[in-house]
Amino acid sequence: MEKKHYEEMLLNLNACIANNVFQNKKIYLFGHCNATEELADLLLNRGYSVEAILDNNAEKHGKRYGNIIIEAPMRILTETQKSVVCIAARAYEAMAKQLKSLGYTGQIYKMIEYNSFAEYSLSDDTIVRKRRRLKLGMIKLAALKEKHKADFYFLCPFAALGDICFMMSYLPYFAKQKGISNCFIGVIGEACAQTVGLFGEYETESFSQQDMDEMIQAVVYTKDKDSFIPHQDRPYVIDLHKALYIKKIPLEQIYCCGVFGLPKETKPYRPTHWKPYRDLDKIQKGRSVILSPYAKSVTTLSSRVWQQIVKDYTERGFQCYTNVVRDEKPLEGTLPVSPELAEIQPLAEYAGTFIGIRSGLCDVLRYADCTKIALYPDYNYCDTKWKAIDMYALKGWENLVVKEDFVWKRP
Amino acid sequence: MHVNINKTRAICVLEDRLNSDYKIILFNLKDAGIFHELCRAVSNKKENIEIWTCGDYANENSLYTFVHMISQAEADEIMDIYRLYEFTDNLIVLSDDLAYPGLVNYIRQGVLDRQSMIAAITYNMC
Repeated sequence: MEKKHYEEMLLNLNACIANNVFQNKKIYLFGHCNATEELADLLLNRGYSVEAILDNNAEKHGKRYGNIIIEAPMRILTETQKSVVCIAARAYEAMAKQLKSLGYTGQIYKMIEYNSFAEYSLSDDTIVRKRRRLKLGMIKLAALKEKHKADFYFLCPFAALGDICFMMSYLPYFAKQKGISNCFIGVIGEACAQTVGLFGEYETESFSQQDMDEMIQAVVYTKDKDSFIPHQDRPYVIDLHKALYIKKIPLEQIYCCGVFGLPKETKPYRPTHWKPYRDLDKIQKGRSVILSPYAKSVTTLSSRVWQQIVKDYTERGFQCYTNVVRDEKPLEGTLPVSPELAEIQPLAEYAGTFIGIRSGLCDVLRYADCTKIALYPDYNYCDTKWKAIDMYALKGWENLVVKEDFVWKRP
Repeated sequence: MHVNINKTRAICVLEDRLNSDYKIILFNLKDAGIFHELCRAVSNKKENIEIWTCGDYANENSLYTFVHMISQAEADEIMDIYRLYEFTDNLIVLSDDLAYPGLVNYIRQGVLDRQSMIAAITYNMC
């Protein structure tokens, strides 16, 4: 998860502890995701125990995160002692509403403000607050347009490299259709801005999540004809994801046909603006493996899996590297590498092999000329029946699902 | 400080329905075929669902008690607050807005047919 979100969750957790929220109460977490796992770890490290992780996905029921069982939300009703539910998920409002409609009367805590668009209330106070927020958004949008003189503005609501890759693969066709010659692309975070840069010279700026949310709300409210929100499920007004209840539509097609309204046959643009990795002389050409075990939005893979992979390649004389950013630790028996985003493809191609958890980085590297292996945690895409591999499988890659009994076997 | 705002009648009715666990589909598309398909799908549901629309073709569906005609002004009032923030997950708006993508794109590109689109929209309704 994003560092900023982690810090916010930590702050909220510390406040709960200081206010004795958890004292003599059973703790439940709702929504099994990466953030919930992080929250569970934080609680366990502070000496609390987590009774269960509640989740609506029946396929997860009975499985465990560490020693914590994942169960249906109804489980909370069987709790005889006082309890609290902590939610570290984007759908907080809907999840809290679900618990209340089930009859749960205990306390529910929002651990992260993931979704500033939602507040399930039509109270006067809420409406007044939201109008103030809109006004701020309109001011920020006007300032953006004053700063960046463009024909058209694309505002990307979510900091995910994969989303940006897919968006940039089809955006030029959309721009051509609309007669846009000079567009601006607003993103969240420097990595997303760099991803845009891989596709060409675009005027780009990185914003905070809050500023972006407010500007997007202004675009939605004013029906701004000079702006477009190129995403598949954010903010709430976009309904493309609902099609997945009925039909499997890979993410690539969601962006091509759903987001941009282009024909299925449209050929995606490729990232081309790479630059040489600065320390190539330290890498054994064709005899190295770049491992990418970290992803902010995906549940982690067991360390056992990575140990098996490192052991296998090391025994065959390969040098293993772990792609790390900031305070991430390299896997045991590997060396750290921290290429810039624009260097990652030249690095992987020189090394010869890339193995990563299926994250947005795989989308950045999708066309790299090397051995590419994507590892998929065995989870369902959002609340659909489709697995991650159904949605994200990459052509030209070895796509491997990592189930609990997974044993590494070189493809 | 508490501030009172004057909610319009349409918003008050909407609030009342939402508080009574109704699901409201605000139909703001100009496609009669999708509208009829939607009516057929909703008629098979047991939940409290209403379709609100100001489209002319709604008159043809007077047999459906769940179809409620509203004025353009009322539709605009609801859209105004819908575009302000997400205040419920029980209001589904079908519109074709240029500032963001929508399911209609799938129909145009042959990824979904109308029936599938309606099935997707009403998937979580019993």
